[in-house]
Amino acid sequence: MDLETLTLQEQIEGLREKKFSSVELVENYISVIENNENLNVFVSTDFEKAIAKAKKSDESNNSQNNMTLNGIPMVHKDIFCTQGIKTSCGSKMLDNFYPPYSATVVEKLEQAGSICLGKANMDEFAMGSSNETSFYGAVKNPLNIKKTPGGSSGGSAAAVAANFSSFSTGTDTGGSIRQPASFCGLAGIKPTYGRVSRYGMIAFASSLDQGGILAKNIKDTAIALQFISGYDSKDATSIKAEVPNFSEDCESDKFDHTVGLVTNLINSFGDEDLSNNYSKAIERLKKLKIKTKEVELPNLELSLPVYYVIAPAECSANLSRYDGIRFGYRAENVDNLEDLYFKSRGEGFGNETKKRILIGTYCLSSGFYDAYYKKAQKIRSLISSDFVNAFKDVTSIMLPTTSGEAFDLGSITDPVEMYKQDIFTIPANLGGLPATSVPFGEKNKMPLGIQFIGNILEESSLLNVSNKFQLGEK
Amino acid sequence: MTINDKTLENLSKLSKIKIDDNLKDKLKEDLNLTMNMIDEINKIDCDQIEELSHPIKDNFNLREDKVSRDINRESLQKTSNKTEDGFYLVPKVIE
Repeated sequence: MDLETLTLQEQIEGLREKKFSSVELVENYISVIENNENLNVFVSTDFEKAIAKAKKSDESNNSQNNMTLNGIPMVHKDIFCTQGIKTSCGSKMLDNFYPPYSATVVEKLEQAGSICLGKANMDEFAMGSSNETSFYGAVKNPLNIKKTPGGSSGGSAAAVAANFSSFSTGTDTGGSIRQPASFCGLAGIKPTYGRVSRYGMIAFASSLDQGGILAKNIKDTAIALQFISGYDSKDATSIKAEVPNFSEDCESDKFDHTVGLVTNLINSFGDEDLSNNYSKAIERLKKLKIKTKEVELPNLELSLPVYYVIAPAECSANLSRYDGIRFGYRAENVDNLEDLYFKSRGEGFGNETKKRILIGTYCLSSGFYDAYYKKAQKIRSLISSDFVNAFKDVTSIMLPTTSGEAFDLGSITDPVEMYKQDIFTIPANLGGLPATSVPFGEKNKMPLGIQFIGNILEESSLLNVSNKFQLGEK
Repeated sequence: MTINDKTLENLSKLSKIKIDDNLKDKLKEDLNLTMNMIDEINKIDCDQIEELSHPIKDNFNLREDKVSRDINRESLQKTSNKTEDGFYLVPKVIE
Protein backbone atom coordinates (compact mmCIF):
# COMPACT_ATOMS: atom_id res chain seq x y z
CA MET A 1 0.00 0.00 0.00
CA ASP A 2 1.34 3.43 -0.89
CA LEU A 3 0.57 5.13 2.39
CA GLU A 4 1.60 8.55 1.12
CA THR A 5 -1.12 8.60 -1.55
CA LEU A 6 -3.95 8.02 0.93
CA THR A 7 -6.40 10.77 1.73
CA LEU A 8 -6.69 12.16 5.25
CA GLN A 9 -9.92 10.24 5.79
CA GLU A 10 -8.31 6.99 4.62
CA GLN A 11 -5.39 7.58 6.96
CA ILE A 12 -7.66 8.21 9.93
CA GLU A 13 -9.56 5.00 9.17
CA GLY A 14 -6.37 3.02 8.50
CA LEU A 15 -4.81 4.07 11.79
CA ARG A 16 -8.01 3.33 13.67
CA GLU A 17 -8.27 -0.13 12.14
CA LYS A 18 -4.52 -0.62 12.76
CA LYS A 19 -3.85 -1.34 9.08
CA PHE A 20 -0.66 0.64 9.53
CA SER A 21 1.01 2.66 12.26
CA SER A 22 1.71 6.35 12.58
CA VAL A 23 5.44 5.57 12.55
CA GLU A 24 5.00 3.82 9.20
CA LEU A 25 3.07 6.81 7.87
CA VAL A 26 5.69 9.29 9.03
CA GLU A 27 8.62 7.20 7.75
CA ASN A 28 6.89 6.80 4.40
CA TYR A 29 6.47 10.53 4.05
CA ILE A 30 10.06 11.23 5.10
CA SER A 31 11.32 8.93 2.39
CA VAL A 32 9.13 10.65 -0.26
CA ILE A 33 10.24 14.08 0.97
CA GLU A 34 13.92 13.14 0.87
CA ASN A 35 13.55 11.88 -2.69
CA ASN A 36 11.98 15.14 -3.86
CA GLU A 37 14.08 17.86 -2.29
CA ASN A 38 14.34 19.61 -5.66
CA LEU A 39 10.77 20.89 -5.20
CA ASN A 40 12.05 23.25 -2.46
CA VAL A 41 8.88 22.75 -0.43
CA PHE A 42 10.29 23.14 3.07
CA VAL A 43 11.95 25.97 4.95
CA SER A 44 12.58 23.61 7.87
CA THR A 45 11.82 20.03 8.88
CA ASP A 46 12.23 18.06 12.09
CA PHE A 47 11.90 14.39 11.22
CA GLU A 48 13.39 13.07 14.47
CA LYS A 49 10.76 14.84 16.50
CA ALA A 50 8.05 13.67 14.07
CA ILE A 51 9.08 10.02 14.48
CA ALA A 52 9.22 10.39 18.26
CA LYS A 53 5.71 11.85 18.26
CA ALA A 54 4.48 9.08 15.96
CA LYS A 55 5.77 6.46 18.38
CA LYS A 56 3.84 8.13 21.18
CA SER A 57 0.73 8.31 19.00
CA ASP A 58 0.94 4.61 18.20
CA GLU A 59 1.22 3.80 21.89
CA SER A 60 -1.81 5.91 22.71
CA ASN A 61 -3.91 5.18 19.64
CA ASN A 62 -7.43 5.54 20.90
CA SER A 63 -10.09 3.84 18.85
CA GLN A 64 -12.91 5.57 20.72
CA ASN A 65 -12.63 8.84 18.89
CA ASN A 66 -13.17 8.17 15.23
CA MET A 67 -12.36 11.69 14.03
CA THR A 68 -9.16 12.34 15.88
CA LEU A 69 -6.07 13.32 13.95
CA ASN A 70 -3.97 11.23 16.33
CA GLY A 71 -0.81 10.17 14.52
CA ILE A 72 -1.61 12.00 11.27
CA PRO A 73 1.36 13.78 9.70
CA MET A 74 0.81 17.26 8.29
CA VAL A 75 2.61 20.39 7.11
CA HIS A 76 2.28 23.99 8.35
CA LYS A 77 2.72 27.05 6.20
CA ASP A 78 5.75 28.88 7.61
CA ILE A 79 3.53 31.82 8.53
CA PHE A 80 2.21 30.04 11.65
CA CYS A 81 4.35 30.55 14.74
CA THR A 82 5.72 27.31 16.17
CA GLN A 83 7.28 27.62 19.60
CA GLY A 84 11.03 27.08 19.44
CA ILE A 85 10.89 26.16 15.74
CA LYS A 86 12.05 28.63 13.11
CA THR A 87 9.17 30.62 11.61
CA SER A 88 10.45 32.64 8.68
CA CYS A 89 7.33 33.75 6.79
CA GLY A 90 9.50 33.29 3.70
CA SER A 91 11.60 36.32 4.64
CA LYS A 92 15.23 37.10 5.39
CA MET A 93 13.75 39.39 8.03
CA LEU A 94 12.62 36.36 10.06
CA ASP A 95 15.31 33.88 9.04
CA ASN A 96 16.56 33.91 12.66
CA PHE A 97 13.13 33.98 14.32
CA TYR A 98 12.29 31.20 16.80
CA PRO A 99 8.91 32.22 18.27
CA PRO A 100 8.39 32.05 22.03
CA TYR A 101 4.81 30.80 21.49
CA SER A 102 2.74 28.81 19.01
CA ALA A 103 -0.17 29.97 16.89
CA THR A 104 -3.61 28.86 18.04
CA VAL A 105 -3.98 26.89 14.79
CA VAL A 106 -0.75 25.03 15.59
CA GLU A 107 -1.81 24.33 19.16
CA LYS A 108 -5.23 23.09 18.09
CA LEU A 109 -3.81 20.68 15.55
CA GLU A 110 -1.26 19.44 18.09
CA GLN A 111 -4.02 18.88 20.63
CA ALA A 112 -5.90 16.88 17.99
CA GLY A 113 -2.84 14.60 17.80
CA SER A 114 -1.44 15.57 14.40
CA ILE A 115 2.30 15.53 13.76
CA CYS A 116 4.02 18.42 11.98
CA LEU A 117 6.64 17.21 9.49
CA GLY A 118 7.90 20.66 8.60
CA LYS A 119 7.25 24.28 7.74
CA ALA A 120 6.34 25.00 4.14
CA ASN A 121 7.97 27.61 1.95
CA MET A 122 5.82 30.56 0.87
CA ASP A 123 5.92 33.98 -0.75
CA GLU A 124 7.58 36.51 1.53
CA PHE A 125 5.05 37.64 4.15
CA ALA A 126 2.40 35.96 1.95
CA MET A 127 2.84 38.64 -0.70
CA GLY A 128 2.87 36.92 -4.04
CA SER A 129 1.00 34.58 -6.36
CA SER A 130 3.85 32.37 -7.59
CA ASN A 131 6.08 31.64 -4.58
CA GLU A 132 8.87 33.49 -6.35
CA THR A 133 9.11 36.22 -3.70
CA SER A 134 10.35 33.78 -1.04
CA PHE A 135 13.80 34.45 0.45
CA TYR A 136 14.37 30.70 0.10
CA GLY A 137 13.65 30.55 -3.64
CA ALA A 138 10.52 29.44 -5.48
CA VAL A 139 8.73 26.17 -4.80
CA LYS A 140 8.26 24.05 -7.92
CA ASN A 141 4.93 22.61 -8.95
CA PRO A 142 5.10 18.81 -8.43
CA LEU A 143 2.89 18.28 -11.50
CA ASN A 144 5.41 20.07 -13.73
CA ILE A 145 8.57 21.46 -12.17
CA LYS A 146 8.82 24.28 -14.71
CA LYS A 147 5.57 25.71 -13.37
CA THR A 148 4.73 27.66 -10.27
CA PRO A 149 2.66 25.91 -7.58
CA GLY A 150 0.93 29.27 -7.06
CA GLY A 151 1.16 31.48 -4.01
CA SER A 152 1.40 32.47 -1.42
CA SER A 153 0.70 29.04 0.14
CA GLY A 154 2.71 27.39 -2.66
CA GLY A 155 4.76 25.17 -0.36
CA SER A 156 1.62 23.99 1.42
CA ALA A 157 -0.01 23.11 -1.92
CA ALA A 158 3.10 21.43 -3.35
CA ALA A 159 3.46 19.40 -0.13
CA VAL A 160 0.04 17.80 -0.60
CA ALA A 161 0.36 17.45 -4.38
CA ALA A 162 3.77 15.76 -4.02
CA ASN A 163 2.42 13.36 -1.35
CA PHE A 164 4.45 14.84 1.50
CA SER A 165 1.30 14.97 3.63
CA SER A 166 -2.43 14.45 3.22
CA PHE A 167 -3.27 17.99 4.28
CA SER A 168 -1.57 21.26 5.10
CA THR A 169 -2.41 24.61 6.60
CA GLY A 170 -2.42 27.77 4.52
CA THR A 171 -3.51 31.37 4.77
CA ASP A 172 -5.53 33.39 2.31
CA THR A 173 -5.49 37.19 2.10
CA GLY A 174 -6.49 37.53 -1.56
CA GLY A 175 -6.51 33.93 -2.81
CA SER A 176 -3.39 32.41 -1.29
CA ILE A 177 -5.06 29.09 -0.46
CA ARG A 178 -7.43 28.80 -3.41
CA GLN A 179 -5.06 29.75 -6.25
CA PRO A 180 -2.30 27.29 -5.23
CA ALA A 181 -4.95 24.61 -4.66
CA SER A 182 -6.19 25.23 -8.19
CA PHE A 183 -2.67 25.20 -9.68
CA CYS A 184 -1.77 21.92 -7.95
CA GLY A 185 -5.07 20.07 -8.53
CA LEU A 186 -6.17 20.19 -4.88
CA ALA A 187 -9.13 21.27 -2.80
CA GLY A 188 -8.77 24.28 -0.53
CA ILE A 189 -10.93 26.26 1.84
CA LYS A 190 -10.63 29.78 3.16
CA PRO A 191 -13.26 29.97 5.90
CA THR A 192 -15.24 33.02 7.00
CA TYR A 193 -13.05 35.84 8.33
CA GLY A 194 -12.96 35.22 12.08
CA ARG A 195 -13.79 31.51 11.95
CA VAL A 196 -10.14 30.59 12.53
CA SER A 197 -7.99 32.42 15.06
CA ARG A 198 -5.25 34.65 13.66
CA TYR A 199 -3.26 34.50 16.91
CA GLY A 200 0.32 33.59 16.04
CA MET A 201 -0.39 33.81 12.31
CA ILE A 202 2.06 36.42 11.08
CA ALA A 203 0.02 39.40 9.90
CA PHE A 204 -0.07 40.71 6.34
CA ALA A 205 -3.41 42.53 5.98
CA SER A 206 -5.40 42.12 9.17
CA SER A 207 -8.92 42.72 7.80
CA LEU A 208 -8.37 40.15 5.03
CA ASP A 209 -6.05 37.41 6.40
CA GLN A 210 -7.64 34.10 7.23
CA GLY A 211 -6.18 30.65 7.91
CA GLY A 212 -7.49 27.54 6.18
CA ILE A 213 -6.74 24.11 4.77
CA LEU A 214 -5.43 22.49 1.58
CA ALA A 215 -6.03 18.78 0.95
CA LYS A 216 -6.63 16.22 -1.78
CA ASN A 217 -10.40 16.60 -1.63
CA ILE A 218 -13.15 18.70 -0.03
CA LYS A 219 -14.06 16.04 2.54
CA ASP A 220 -10.51 16.15 3.89
CA THR A 221 -10.56 19.97 4.09
CA ALA A 222 -13.79 19.66 6.11
CA ILE A 223 -12.20 17.15 8.51
CA ALA A 224 -9.14 19.33 9.13
CA LEU A 225 -11.03 22.64 9.22
CA GLN A 226 -13.05 21.28 12.14
CA PHE A 227 -9.95 21.18 14.30
CA ILE A 228 -8.66 24.68 13.61
CA SER A 229 -11.98 26.54 13.85
CA GLY A 230 -13.53 28.30 16.81
CA TYR A 231 -13.47 31.40 18.97
CA ASP A 232 -10.15 32.33 20.54
CA SER A 233 -9.90 34.90 23.31
CA LYS A 234 -6.42 35.76 22.00
CA ASP A 235 -7.89 37.09 18.74
CA ALA A 236 -10.45 39.85 19.26
CA THR A 237 -11.67 39.46 15.68
CA SER A 238 -12.41 35.75 15.98
CA ILE A 239 -16.13 35.04 15.92
CA LYS A 240 -18.04 33.71 18.92
CA ALA A 241 -20.07 31.14 17.05
CA GLU A 242 -20.55 27.43 17.46
CA VAL A 243 -18.49 25.33 15.06
CA PRO A 244 -20.77 22.92 13.17
CA ASN A 245 -19.71 19.36 12.38
CA PHE A 246 -18.17 20.20 8.99
CA SER A 247 -17.23 16.62 8.29
CA GLU A 248 -20.78 15.33 8.71
CA ASP A 249 -22.36 18.37 7.06
CA CYS A 250 -20.10 17.95 4.05
CA GLU A 251 -21.89 14.70 3.15
CA SER A 252 -25.35 15.50 4.51
CA ASP A 253 -28.61 15.61 2.52
CA LYS A 254 -30.06 18.41 4.63
CA PHE A 255 -28.92 21.31 2.45
CA ASP A 256 -30.99 22.83 -0.33
CA HIS A 257 -28.64 24.55 -2.76
CA THR A 258 -29.14 27.31 -5.29
CA VAL A 259 -25.83 28.18 -6.89
CA GLY A 260 -25.41 31.72 -8.17
CA LEU A 261 -23.84 32.07 -11.61
CA VAL A 262 -22.17 35.03 -13.29
CA THR A 263 -22.08 33.75 -16.85
CA ASN A 264 -22.15 37.15 -18.57
CA LEU A 265 -19.32 38.43 -16.42
CA ILE A 266 -17.15 35.39 -17.20
CA ASN A 267 -17.90 35.70 -20.92
CA SER A 268 -17.01 39.40 -20.82
CA PHE A 269 -13.36 38.43 -20.28
CA GLY A 270 -13.34 37.15 -23.88
CA ASP A 271 -11.31 34.07 -22.90
CA GLU A 272 -12.80 31.04 -24.66
CA ASP A 273 -11.11 28.46 -22.43
CA LEU A 274 -12.26 30.26 -19.30
CA SER A 275 -15.86 30.44 -20.57
CA ASN A 276 -15.83 26.80 -21.70
CA ASN A 277 -14.65 25.49 -18.36
CA TYR A 278 -17.27 27.61 -16.60
CA SER A 279 -20.00 26.23 -18.94
CA LYS A 280 -18.87 22.68 -18.22
CA ALA A 281 -19.07 23.40 -14.49
CA ILE A 282 -22.65 24.66 -14.97
CA GLU A 283 -23.45 21.44 -16.87
CA ARG A 284 -22.14 19.41 -13.96
CA LEU A 285 -24.37 21.32 -11.53
CA LYS A 286 -27.36 20.63 -13.79
CA LYS A 287 -26.54 16.91 -13.99
CA LEU A 288 -26.35 16.88 -10.22
CA LYS A 289 -29.81 18.51 -10.20
CA ILE A 290 -28.48 21.47 -8.23
CA LYS A 291 -30.55 24.61 -8.86
CA THR A 292 -28.79 27.59 -10.40
CA LYS A 293 -29.64 31.27 -10.79
CA GLU A 294 -27.82 34.08 -12.54
CA VAL A 295 -26.71 36.83 -10.12
CA GLU A 296 -25.10 40.23 -10.56
CA LEU A 297 -21.73 41.18 -9.10
CA PRO A 298 -21.40 44.55 -10.88
CA ASN A 299 -18.35 45.75 -8.97
CA LEU A 300 -16.31 42.54 -9.06
CA GLU A 301 -13.62 43.95 -11.33
CA LEU A 302 -13.01 46.82 -8.91
CA SER A 303 -11.90 44.25 -6.34
CA LEU A 304 -8.38 44.30 -7.72
CA PRO A 305 -7.62 48.03 -7.35
CA VAL A 306 -9.49 48.14 -4.04
CA TYR A 307 -7.45 45.23 -2.71
CA TYR A 308 -4.19 46.81 -3.83
CA VAL A 309 -4.97 49.84 -1.70
CA ILE A 310 -6.32 48.09 1.39
CA ALA A 311 -3.88 45.16 1.61
CA PRO A 312 -0.74 47.30 1.19
CA ALA A 313 -2.12 49.96 3.55
CA GLU A 314 -2.68 47.35 6.25
CA CYS A 315 0.65 45.68 5.47
CA SER A 316 2.56 48.95 5.79
CA ALA A 317 1.16 49.31 9.31
CA ASN A 318 1.62 45.65 10.28
CA LEU A 319 5.16 45.39 9.00
CA SER A 320 6.27 48.47 10.91
CA ARG A 321 6.94 46.06 13.80
CA TYR A 322 10.10 44.86 12.03
CA ASP A 323 12.49 47.42 13.45
CA GLY A 324 15.59 45.27 13.87
CA ILE A 325 15.48 45.58 17.65
CA ARG A 326 13.11 43.17 19.34
CA PHE A 327 13.22 40.30 16.87
CA GLY A 328 14.14 39.53 13.29
CA TYR A 329 16.99 40.78 11.15
CA ARG A 330 19.25 43.45 12.62
CA ALA A 331 21.68 45.30 10.36
CA GLU A 332 25.33 45.61 11.36
CA ASN A 333 27.56 48.67 11.06
CA VAL A 334 24.97 51.31 11.78
CA ASP A 335 25.63 54.94 12.71
CA ASN A 336 22.62 55.60 14.91
CA LEU A 337 19.11 54.38 15.79
CA GLU A 338 17.52 55.84 12.65
CA ASP A 339 20.18 54.15 10.55
CA LEU A 340 19.46 50.84 12.32
CA TYR A 341 15.79 51.06 11.27
CA PHE A 342 16.57 52.04 7.67
CA LYS A 343 19.25 49.43 7.10
CA SER A 344 17.51 46.57 8.95
CA ARG A 345 14.34 47.11 6.91
CA GLY A 346 16.20 47.83 3.67
CA GLU A 347 18.31 44.67 3.94
CA GLY A 348 15.74 42.42 5.65
CA PHE A 349 12.75 42.88 3.30
CA GLY A 350 12.65 41.53 -0.24
CA ASN A 351 11.62 43.68 -3.20
CA GLU A 352 7.94 42.71 -3.39
CA THR A 353 7.45 43.37 0.32
CA LYS A 354 9.16 46.74 -0.02
CA LYS A 355 6.93 47.60 -2.96
CA ARG A 356 3.76 46.81 -1.04
CA ILE A 357 4.89 48.74 2.04
CA LEU A 358 5.68 51.74 -0.19
CA ILE A 359 2.29 51.57 -1.96
CA GLY A 360 0.51 51.32 1.37
CA THR A 361 2.54 54.19 2.76
CA TYR A 362 1.69 56.28 -0.30
CA CYS A 363 -2.06 55.55 -0.05
CA LEU A 364 -2.07 56.44 3.65
CA SER A 365 0.14 59.50 3.37
CA SER A 366 -1.02 63.04 3.95
CA GLY A 367 -3.05 64.32 1.00
CA PHE A 368 -3.76 60.87 -0.44
CA TYR A 369 -5.61 59.16 2.41
CA ASP A 370 -9.08 60.24 1.27
CA ALA A 371 -8.42 59.68 -2.42
CA TYR A 372 -7.11 56.16 -1.99
CA TYR A 373 -7.65 54.51 1.40
CA LYS A 374 -11.04 56.02 2.23
CA LYS A 375 -12.24 55.61 -1.35
CA ALA A 376 -11.14 51.97 -1.45
CA GLN A 377 -13.05 51.31 1.77
CA LYS A 378 -16.19 52.84 0.23
CA ILE A 379 -15.89 50.60 -2.83
CA ARG A 380 -15.22 47.65 -0.54
CA SER A 381 -18.58 48.46 0.97
CA LEU A 382 -20.19 48.35 -2.51
CA ILE A 383 -18.58 44.97 -3.29
CA SER A 384 -19.71 43.59 0.05
CA SER A 385 -23.28 44.86 -0.60
CA ASP A 386 -23.28 43.10 -3.97
CA PHE A 387 -22.70 39.83 -2.15
CA VAL A 388 -25.37 40.60 0.46
CA ASN A 389 -27.85 41.18 -2.38
CA ALA A 390 -26.78 38.08 -4.28
CA PHE A 391 -27.15 35.89 -1.19
CA LYS A 392 -30.82 36.90 -0.92
CA ASP A 393 -31.46 34.57 -3.87
CA VAL A 394 -28.71 31.96 -3.74
CA THR A 395 -26.84 29.83 -1.21
CA SER A 396 -23.44 30.03 -2.90
CA ILE A 397 -21.82 31.65 -5.91
CA MET A 398 -19.70 29.82 -8.46
CA LEU A 399 -16.68 31.48 -10.08
CA PRO A 400 -13.50 30.20 -11.69
CA THR A 401 -10.67 30.09 -9.11
CA THR A 402 -8.17 31.57 -11.54
CA SER A 403 -8.29 32.80 -15.11
CA GLY A 404 -5.86 30.11 -16.25
CA GLU A 405 -3.60 27.21 -15.34
CA ALA A 406 -0.26 27.35 -13.48
CA PHE A 407 2.18 29.50 -15.44
CA ASP A 408 5.90 29.00 -16.00
CA LEU A 409 8.20 30.13 -13.20
CA GLY A 410 9.80 33.43 -14.15
CA SER A 411 7.31 34.13 -16.94
CA ILE A 412 5.44 37.07 -15.36
CA THR A 413 7.54 40.16 -14.72
CA ASP A 414 4.86 42.88 -14.90
CA PRO A 415 3.60 43.32 -11.32
CA VAL A 416 0.06 44.17 -12.40
CA GLU A 417 -0.14 41.02 -14.55
CA MET A 418 0.87 39.06 -11.44
CA TYR A 419 -1.70 40.87 -9.30
CA LYS A 420 -4.43 39.99 -11.83
CA GLN A 421 -3.93 36.34 -10.84
CA ASP A 422 -6.24 37.03 -7.92
CA ILE A 423 -9.12 38.78 -9.70
CA PHE A 424 -11.63 35.99 -8.91
CA THR A 425 -10.38 35.18 -5.42
CA ILE A 426 -10.02 38.66 -3.90
CA PRO A 427 -13.78 39.46 -3.69
CA ALA A 428 -14.39 36.76 -1.04
CA ASN A 429 -11.66 38.27 1.15
CA LEU A 430 -13.09 41.77 0.80
CA GLY A 431 -16.48 40.44 1.93
CA GLY A 432 -15.02 38.18 4.66
CA LEU A 433 -16.82 35.27 2.98
CA PRO A 434 -15.87 31.59 3.05
CA ALA A 435 -14.74 30.12 -0.27
CA THR A 436 -13.43 26.84 -1.64
CA SER A 437 -11.52 25.79 -4.70
CA VAL A 438 -12.36 22.42 -6.25
CA PRO A 439 -10.27 20.79 -8.99
CA PHE A 440 -12.22 20.92 -12.25
CA GLY A 441 -11.00 20.79 -15.84
CA GLU A 442 -7.55 21.24 -17.26
CA LYS A 443 -5.59 23.38 -19.68
CA ASN A 444 -2.24 22.54 -21.26
CA LYS A 445 -2.14 19.38 -19.14
CA MET A 446 -2.36 21.40 -15.93
CA PRO A 447 -5.35 21.42 -13.58
CA LEU A 448 -7.91 24.21 -13.28
CA GLY A 449 -10.17 25.00 -10.35
CA ILE A 450 -13.73 26.08 -9.74
CA GLN A 451 -14.48 28.29 -6.78
CA PHE A 452 -17.59 28.34 -4.61
CA ILE A 453 -18.20 31.34 -2.37
CA GLY A 454 -20.57 30.91 0.57
CA ASN A 455 -22.38 33.28 2.89
CA ILE A 456 -20.86 34.34 6.20
CA LEU A 457 -20.44 31.39 8.60
CA GLU A 458 -22.12 29.06 6.09
CA GLU A 459 -19.11 26.78 5.64
CA SER A 460 -21.27 23.67 6.11
CA SER A 461 -23.47 24.42 3.12
CA LEU A 462 -20.43 25.59 1.14
CA LEU A 463 -18.48 22.39 1.85
CA ASN A 464 -21.58 20.35 1.03
CA VAL A 465 -22.09 21.87 -2.43
CA SER A 466 -18.34 21.80 -3.12
CA ASN A 467 -18.17 18.14 -2.16
CA LYS A 468 -21.17 17.24 -4.35
CA PHE A 469 -19.56 19.12 -7.22
CA GLN A 470 -16.19 17.43 -6.74
CA LEU A 471 -17.68 13.94 -6.55
CA GLY A 472 -19.81 14.58 -9.65
CA GLU A 473 -22.48 12.14 -10.74
CA LYS A 474 -22.71 8.96 -8.73
CA MET B 1 4.12 60.20 -13.41
CA THR B 2 2.63 59.69 -9.95
CA ILE B 3 5.74 58.45 -8.21
CA ASN B 4 8.94 60.31 -9.10
CA ASP B 5 12.34 60.45 -7.38
CA LYS B 6 11.11 62.94 -4.81
CA THR B 7 8.02 60.89 -3.91
CA LEU B 8 10.12 57.75 -3.64
CA GLU B 9 12.53 59.49 -1.30
CA ASN B 10 9.64 60.65 0.85
CA LEU B 11 8.12 57.15 0.93
CA SER B 12 11.49 55.72 1.90
CA LYS B 13 11.66 58.17 4.79
CA LEU B 14 8.09 57.53 5.94
CA SER B 15 8.46 53.76 5.85
CA LYS B 16 12.06 53.78 7.14
CA ILE B 17 13.28 51.52 4.37
CA LYS B 18 16.65 52.21 2.80
CA ILE B 19 16.31 51.90 -0.96
CA ASP B 20 19.44 51.03 -2.91
CA ASP B 21 20.21 53.28 -5.87
CA ASN B 22 20.27 50.37 -8.31
CA LEU B 23 16.71 49.44 -7.31
CA LYS B 24 15.17 52.89 -7.70
CA ASP B 25 14.28 52.86 -11.42
CA LYS B 26 12.66 49.43 -11.34
CA LEU B 27 10.79 50.35 -8.15
CA LYS B 28 9.47 53.57 -9.65
CA GLU B 29 8.33 51.72 -12.77
CA ASP B 30 6.54 48.99 -10.79
CA LEU B 31 4.96 51.43 -8.35
CA ASN B 32 3.65 53.58 -11.18
CA LEU B 33 2.20 50.56 -13.01
CA THR B 34 0.47 49.58 -9.78
CA MET B 35 -0.79 53.09 -9.06
CA ASN B 36 -2.20 53.33 -12.62
CA MET B 37 -4.18 50.17 -11.98
CA ILE B 38 -5.31 51.50 -8.59
CA ASP B 39 -6.41 54.82 -10.13
CA GLU B 40 -9.40 52.95 -11.63
CA ILE B 41 -11.15 53.54 -8.31
CA ASN B 42 -11.20 57.26 -8.94
CA LYS B 43 -13.61 56.77 -11.83
CA ILE B 44 -16.26 55.60 -9.39
CA ASP B 45 -18.58 58.05 -7.68
CA CYS B 46 -19.34 56.73 -4.22
CA ASP B 47 -19.29 59.81 -2.01
CA GLN B 48 -22.49 58.81 -0.24
CA ILE B 49 -21.32 55.28 0.57
CA GLU B 50 -20.15 54.43 4.06
CA GLU B 51 -16.63 53.01 4.36
CA LEU B 52 -16.14 49.36 5.24
CA SER B 53 -12.99 48.79 7.25
CA HIS B 54 -13.79 45.37 8.60
CA PRO B 55 -15.70 42.55 6.88
CA ILE B 56 -17.65 41.30 9.91
CA LYS B 57 -19.58 44.17 11.45
CA ASP B 58 -19.60 44.66 15.23
CA ASN B 59 -17.45 41.64 15.91
CA PHE B 60 -14.87 42.70 18.41
CA ASN B 61 -14.71 40.29 21.28
CA LEU B 62 -12.36 41.79 23.77
CA ARG B 63 -11.13 39.46 26.47
CA GLU B 64 -11.48 40.19 30.15
CA ASP B 65 -9.25 43.07 31.22
CA LYS B 66 -6.91 40.93 33.30
CA VAL B 67 -3.15 40.69 33.21
CA SER B 68 -2.00 37.29 31.97
CA ARG B 69 1.57 36.09 31.91
CA ASP B 70 1.51 33.47 29.17
CA ILE B 71 4.93 34.51 27.97
CA ASN B 72 7.66 35.84 30.22
CA ARG B 73 10.14 38.58 29.44
CA GLU B 74 13.10 36.22 29.31
CA SER B 75 11.65 33.97 26.62
CA LEU B 76 10.44 36.99 24.64
CA GLN B 77 13.87 38.58 24.70
CA LYS B 78 15.53 35.43 23.39
CA THR B 79 14.38 36.59 19.97
CA SER B 80 16.81 39.50 20.15
CA ASN B 81 20.56 39.10 20.24
CA LYS B 82 21.13 42.45 21.92
CA THR B 83 19.60 42.64 25.39
CA GLU B 84 20.92 43.45 28.84
CA ASP B 85 19.22 43.24 32.26
CA GLY B 86 15.81 42.85 30.63
CA PHE B 87 16.27 45.78 28.24
CA TYR B 88 16.79 45.87 24.50
CA LEU B 89 20.00 47.52 23.38
CA VAL B 90 19.99 50.13 20.62
CA PRO B 91 22.65 52.52 19.32
CA LYS B 92 23.24 55.49 21.59
CA VAL B 93 20.49 58.12 21.24
CA ILE B 94 21.58 60.64 23.91
CA GLU B 95 25.12 61.99 23.96
